[in-house]
Amino acid sequence: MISLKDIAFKYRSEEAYALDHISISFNAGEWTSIIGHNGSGKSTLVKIIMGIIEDYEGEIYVGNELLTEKNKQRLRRKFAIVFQNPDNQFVGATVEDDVAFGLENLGLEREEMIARTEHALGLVNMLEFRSHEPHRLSGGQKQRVAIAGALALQPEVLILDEATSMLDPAGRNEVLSILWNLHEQLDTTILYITHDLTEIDHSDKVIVMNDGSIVGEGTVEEIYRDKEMLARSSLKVPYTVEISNALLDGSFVTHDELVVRLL
Amino acid sequence: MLSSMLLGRYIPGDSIVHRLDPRAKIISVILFMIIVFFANHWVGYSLLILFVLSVTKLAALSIRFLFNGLKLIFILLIFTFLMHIFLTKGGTVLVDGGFFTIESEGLITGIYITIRLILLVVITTLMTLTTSPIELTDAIEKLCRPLKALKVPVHEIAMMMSISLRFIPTLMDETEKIIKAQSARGSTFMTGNLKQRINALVPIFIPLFMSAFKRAEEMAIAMEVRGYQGEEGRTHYRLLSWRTRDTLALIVLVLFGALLIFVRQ
Amino acid sequence: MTIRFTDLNVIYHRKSPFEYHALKNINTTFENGKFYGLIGHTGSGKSTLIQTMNGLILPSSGTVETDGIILSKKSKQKLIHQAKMKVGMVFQFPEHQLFESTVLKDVMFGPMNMGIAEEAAREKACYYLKLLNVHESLLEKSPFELSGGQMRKVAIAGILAMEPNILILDEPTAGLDPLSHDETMQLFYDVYKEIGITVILITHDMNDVLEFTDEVKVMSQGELAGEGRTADILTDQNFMERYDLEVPHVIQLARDLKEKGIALNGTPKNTAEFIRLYEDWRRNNA
Repeated sequence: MISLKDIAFKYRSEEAYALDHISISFNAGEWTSIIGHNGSGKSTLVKIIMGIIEDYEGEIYVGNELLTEKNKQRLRRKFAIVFQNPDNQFVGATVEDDVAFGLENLGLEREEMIARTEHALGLVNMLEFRSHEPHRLSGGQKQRVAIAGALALQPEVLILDEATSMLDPAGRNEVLSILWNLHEQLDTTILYITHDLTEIDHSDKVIVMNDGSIVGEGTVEEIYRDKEMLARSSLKVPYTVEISNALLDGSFVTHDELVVRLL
Repeated sequence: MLSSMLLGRYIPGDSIVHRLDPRAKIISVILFMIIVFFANHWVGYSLLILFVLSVTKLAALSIRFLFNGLKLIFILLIFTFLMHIFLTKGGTVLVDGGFFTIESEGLITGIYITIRLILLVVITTLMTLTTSPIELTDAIEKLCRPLKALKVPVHEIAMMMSISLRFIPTLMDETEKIIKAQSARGSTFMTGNLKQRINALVPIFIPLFMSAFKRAEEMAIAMEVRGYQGEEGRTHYRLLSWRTRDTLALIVLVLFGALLIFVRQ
Repeated sequence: MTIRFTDLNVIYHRKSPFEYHALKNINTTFENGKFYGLIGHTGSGKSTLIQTMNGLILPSSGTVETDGIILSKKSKQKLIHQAKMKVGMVFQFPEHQLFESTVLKDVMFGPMNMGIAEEAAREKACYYLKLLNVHESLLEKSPFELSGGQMRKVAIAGILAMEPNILILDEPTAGLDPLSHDETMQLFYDVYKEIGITVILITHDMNDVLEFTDEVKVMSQGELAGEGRTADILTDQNFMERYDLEVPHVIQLARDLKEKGIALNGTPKNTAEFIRLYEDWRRNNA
């Protein structure tokens, strides 16, 4: 549904490619994870998709439409993104003001804004905090508000750019479980960018990046099995897979499955 | 000490004063600043005090709470009072201390001017206590709209104000963290001469600026990807609605002003 | 070089509606040369506790004795400064404290504040930068030109160069990717072995606590909820549940296996040890 063809980009002309001619496509209703260590090119890719970087080489298709100068504003509305730092994306003075911020920019009628804001805050279980100010929220709560702000825009794709990496374990679980719910119950299309392999278990598809290139693509199981590729990409497998590698056949297992297999 | 300061704080509530349109409150405060100068003897000042006490009551705030929160300001006001007592001359001599005298004019002016200032501080504080910062910025934006004809970027200024207000607690936390980190590295801020003390601020300000710039950049991107392109085509989630009670409040204030002129001597 | 807390209380915003009792009657000791874990939920008082060790926060009542220096409510700046020189603190996101024009100068900042001569400070700076694998070619660069990971190492070197007797690490790996996380933790452990100082690690990562620390202290709602040998505390199922603490993966795994009849001979500290213990068991029960 969305495909990137032969995307390349350099920050400075003399440097190596930050993105070296990569092609990716992902489908509606799926959870696609892009994983790579810090500096592997994931964030550059997101910046290109979101139009923050515009002088890239290559083509982006949304549906069958090629993204161009003319239609970019309309097409980019299909994406909404949550960034890493909870504090630096909270625009509004209160929770509901923040969710409504994007809607104000769309120029929606007030009744529509209220309805969408309430609905979105409900989806992330933050409705009761609607009049709270950001400094009274935990990191996990702020990120949930950011997710609500993105969902209120009714995007076709929800992008999360390392959205959990600055949270404590409680906040991280909060955010991940909200996302899993959204994906499973509402079929939200999710593009999940992370450096942590333990967060990709629910993905329909995983893309591994290293040094600006795509070095692996497949299901969670397939990615975990490609040990050499993961090691080359400086990625660390979860303890279950590490143990499965040493004691079993190296397949991807959950904690409970591991216990059963070790008996 | 600072935590009990009320200046610039907002206390959420549901009183009639809280529910007034913020524009009505701003206009009222400005009107009040003018009206205060109508009073020129004790009847006028008593009426003013009565008025401010009634507003406090209507805002469901206790007078003691206000008084405690404004203690620091009152200390400053006592200074102005003393200045007037000693420096304004005229009328009968009340105290003759040799190298200084206190004269009746001075005492009376001192009292009146101090009352005036106290009332102004209290009334503005009542406004900020009962109006959230976002309502205040919204109201300022609306009230300043006519300035747009003069090419004043009213919307941008209001947006800047509201984001700055939103970041104050974040940057306060950040400043505290940096001070602690540098202080743990043996940096001292409280000792040495002026030059040394100024130098000691460098390890605090540079990290603070770096982080503020980074935040600003990330914030700009976050706003842009959520479709912010300035004022054009933008609607408002928060609606300021001017009701009959707002008009009434202003009428009451104007009548009160007229009353003060009436009792002038 | 022990740290002793005696009847320590910290109360913020005393006698105001915002009054908050952050630490309640803390009595405990951190002994010389051990690697401690300090755990507990956000807001449990961990950060307040460590900040009393070098006078960033003074006790409301009670005392904190750091290597012979006793800090109390009324301690003078000079004494507090002495305490600061004994305790090195790596705060969360330590790279946010960098400010000098070059990497080398930034690392020298702490030692120079201690009154160490420039030449000696430079030597110390170079030594610790090298210990942390910061390449020599970076010494004259601006710290702001470095990558995030390198910036963090420089900041950490800046603390180590003060050669503190006690090193406090407040979530030192926050925001790092898993491999850099492991590398950084290993680095701290190597430094600990090499210099032999007391280390106190604050973290949410129970796997790190299990792998690296000798002893743990658990904070909950401003009180010391428990303390003891790491393996004892982390395997105490009731205790861990009562304070809603995450059990390290390998301990959970060993416990689940034990319920099913596989009792490993010992408590694994990490995945590698678990694998070894499991293989031992399999060999003995083949």
